[in-house]
Amino acid sequence: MASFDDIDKAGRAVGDIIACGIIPGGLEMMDNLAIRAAEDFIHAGYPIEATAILLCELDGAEGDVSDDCARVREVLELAGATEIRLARDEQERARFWAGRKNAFPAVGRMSPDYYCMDGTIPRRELPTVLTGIAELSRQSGLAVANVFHAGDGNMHPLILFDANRPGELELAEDVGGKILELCVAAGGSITGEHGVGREKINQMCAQFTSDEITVFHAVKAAFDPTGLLNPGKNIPTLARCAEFGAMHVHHNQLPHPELPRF
Amino acid sequence: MNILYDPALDGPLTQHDKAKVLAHLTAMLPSLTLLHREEDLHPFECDGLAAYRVMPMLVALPECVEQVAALLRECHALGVPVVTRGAGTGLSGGALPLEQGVLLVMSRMARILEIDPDARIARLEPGVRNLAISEAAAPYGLYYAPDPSSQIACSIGGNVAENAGGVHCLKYGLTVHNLLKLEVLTIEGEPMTLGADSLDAAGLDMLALFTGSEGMLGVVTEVTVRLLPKPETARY
Amino acid sequence: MSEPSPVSQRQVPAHAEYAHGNQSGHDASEALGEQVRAAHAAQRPLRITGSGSKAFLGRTVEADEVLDMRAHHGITHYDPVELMVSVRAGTPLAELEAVLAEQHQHLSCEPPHFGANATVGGTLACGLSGPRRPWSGSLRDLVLGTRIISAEGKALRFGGEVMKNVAGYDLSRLMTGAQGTLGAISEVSLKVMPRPAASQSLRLELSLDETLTRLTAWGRTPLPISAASWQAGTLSLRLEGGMRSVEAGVTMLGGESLHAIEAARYWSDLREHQLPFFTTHASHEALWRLSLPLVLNHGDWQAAVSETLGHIDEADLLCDWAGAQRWLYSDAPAERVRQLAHRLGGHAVCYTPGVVSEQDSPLMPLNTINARYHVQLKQQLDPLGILNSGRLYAGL
Repeated sequence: MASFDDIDKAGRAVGDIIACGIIPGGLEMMDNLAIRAAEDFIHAGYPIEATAILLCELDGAEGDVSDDCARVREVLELAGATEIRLARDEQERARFWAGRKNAFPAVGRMSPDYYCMDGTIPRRELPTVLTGIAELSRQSGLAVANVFHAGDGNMHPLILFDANRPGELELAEDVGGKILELCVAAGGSITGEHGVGREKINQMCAQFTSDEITVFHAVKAAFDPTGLLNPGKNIPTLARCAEFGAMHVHHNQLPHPELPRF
Repeated sequence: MNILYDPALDGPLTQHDKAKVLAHLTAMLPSLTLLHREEDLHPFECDGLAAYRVMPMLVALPECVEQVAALLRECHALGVPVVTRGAGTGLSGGALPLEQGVLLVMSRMARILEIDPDARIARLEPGVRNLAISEAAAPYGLYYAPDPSSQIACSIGGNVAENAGGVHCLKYGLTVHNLLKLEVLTIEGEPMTLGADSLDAAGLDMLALFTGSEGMLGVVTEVTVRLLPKPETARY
Repeated sequence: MSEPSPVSQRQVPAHAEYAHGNQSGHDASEALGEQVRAAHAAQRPLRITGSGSKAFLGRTVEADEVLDMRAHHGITHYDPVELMVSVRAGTPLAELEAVLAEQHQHLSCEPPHFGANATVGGTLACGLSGPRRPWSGSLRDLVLGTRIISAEGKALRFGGEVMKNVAGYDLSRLMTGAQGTLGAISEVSLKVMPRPAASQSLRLELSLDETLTRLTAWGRTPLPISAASWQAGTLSLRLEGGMRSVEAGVTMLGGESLHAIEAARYWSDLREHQLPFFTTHASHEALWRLSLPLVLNHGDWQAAVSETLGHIDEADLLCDWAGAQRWLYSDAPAERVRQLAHRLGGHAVCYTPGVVSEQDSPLMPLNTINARYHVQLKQQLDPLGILNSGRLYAGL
């Protein structure tokens, strides 16, 4: 576990580890809000003053892992880690991991509700996207905690809100949608592992063109021409994209008048 | 923003008479467990995206592949939509029911059909929990790599539908990288084998296409996954 | 065995876009798209081609006009730290591999070239993987995203440049191995991996039966095996990974150690069908690839062989992928070889042109239901049959 006083440095350290030719089994990043939430809940021994922590898991053959541990430590030092701790025993190792695995419920204790996002980005875009998220958080007044599968670029921003306050759920969803659009703009995806389902149906229109969405519908038609399996999920209709999506819409013109209005 | 099904934007849905559908399915499939009373349907009105809830018309709880195939054939004939659900832990509302649809819940098909430690594969019914695979493989020094954070509860069928990940994806890949074979049923109830016991199969890579297709192309009835030897050590 | 020093590796410019990018290549996507649009408008079928190195691997496409992807070449984006490279279809595979090697990286599935000028697009379209396949995954597993030209000549993009992306159907992986029948791959983003720090190959004199038994037992341990082939009483093994685990593996397994150059040559010749087994076989026999279950009882193999083919000469068999991919020279009718593969739960592909009839395919026939959905998918994505129609099967 390495602590950083700067999220940019932590992001760079991830790249440096990989540039060394080491592929960690797991590589997780948490920002300060997520660290404090997890520490308060699990008492994992996380440094609550750190701006970000990296949890790096190396697995494999005993000898190789020892070699890699030494190299990773060296890399983290060079990358400007303020503190590096190797789990002393199995119990501490389990605690470090428990903090991360319980980050969602931990954040859940800080706020009546939270909304978990699942965007992915190229890792190099992390500072830009985090700055964008901080700005959205400031504008909306909703706190956002960041938990990040740093190795593979999968972000899980957790937007804190209170559904009992009128309009806050809608505000949280709005912030979430904008975060996903930031991910797409950074060259990433609206979903790394949670799927589109119903939740991100409108954001699909930001990630794919109408031609691509048309191809998705064609694939669906090859297997389920009458559309009886899970209708309304995963792939938006072009009508939906025209209504909500990022298709270019000019003022006062009905978007895509040629599309059927159901 | 309201994400519930909107016929104006998502396409028209045919209205069905619940009593008639129930009577038909009960007659055609006497052995299938069908839930229809409001109090029985409540537990199924949402998945892990709990902010959104819809009461399904009916819930089907099949216990074998024949029941699933027969149910699909009947729903196809009646024109009734089918939403498939595993453990309901998904976070994107992929298993959100439809008022005019049958919710096909695969959780009772949860048998581990085979662990072959020599071939390092596990053959599973779709309702098997993700963590249960590694638990069953542990005596042989093997495990199943993808570990979504809901792994205690989430099912392998749902993992396939969502191409689930976890914290070890960079090194060990997503669900699609750890699958060997799927048995699926189409909406017409026709069985197809995608992938094979060998490392590739003839024809197009339908296994990859179906993985992550969110229950839109077919219903997964059996999953064969690859198992890995446990690493000697793991350090943080 | 040499371990790259951490210091030299850390000099990899972090987050650098590779200078090799746009300048050295050529973007012909517009012209290619236009050609497909014109062909689509005239309902004229196209045969997609790269260097032609794997032209033998499918049915003949009945088309007078060729869509030559070679004009569209160059690495558009290589970020070693992101473990990702994006490359245009016409780029020579050898060029891509050389660029990756400069950064101590590689395509871990080590795809075969089958020709000096093999292109990345053709490699993807055929979807073949080399000796590391059972341990490091297939070429399809490395695909992060593709850009394709659709049958209507539209430029489409599926997947992307990130490791995790589950938005929409996974068409980028579906395109891998589809031989251009669903779309012409114009660009692909691939996951690249660091080369292993250490590699050592070994030879052991063993019967096939004993080889398979041992490989099965080793497979349940964390031994860092990355290739295992058997031919004529010799098992060739490659161990790759960290310095220490490879050394420990070598000590444990014993056998004869191969010199690094000799080892590299062997695995490359195996992958490229340049071993004497492939180059000296009598021309009247056809080369078949049998893709078989990961663990196969040797007795079952022998029984299936004797029931379908009768006797086979040991010299006609080479096993790769720890037995899951077997190369067989045989003059038996295609039907018999397919029966053998089918009985054992696998499939067979004929690598010698002209052996199967024109209506047939070098690929194993699909069952009725599977075939129907294959055709329906083709009809949805390419209803006029513009792109490489009939390449995989008649009508597909």
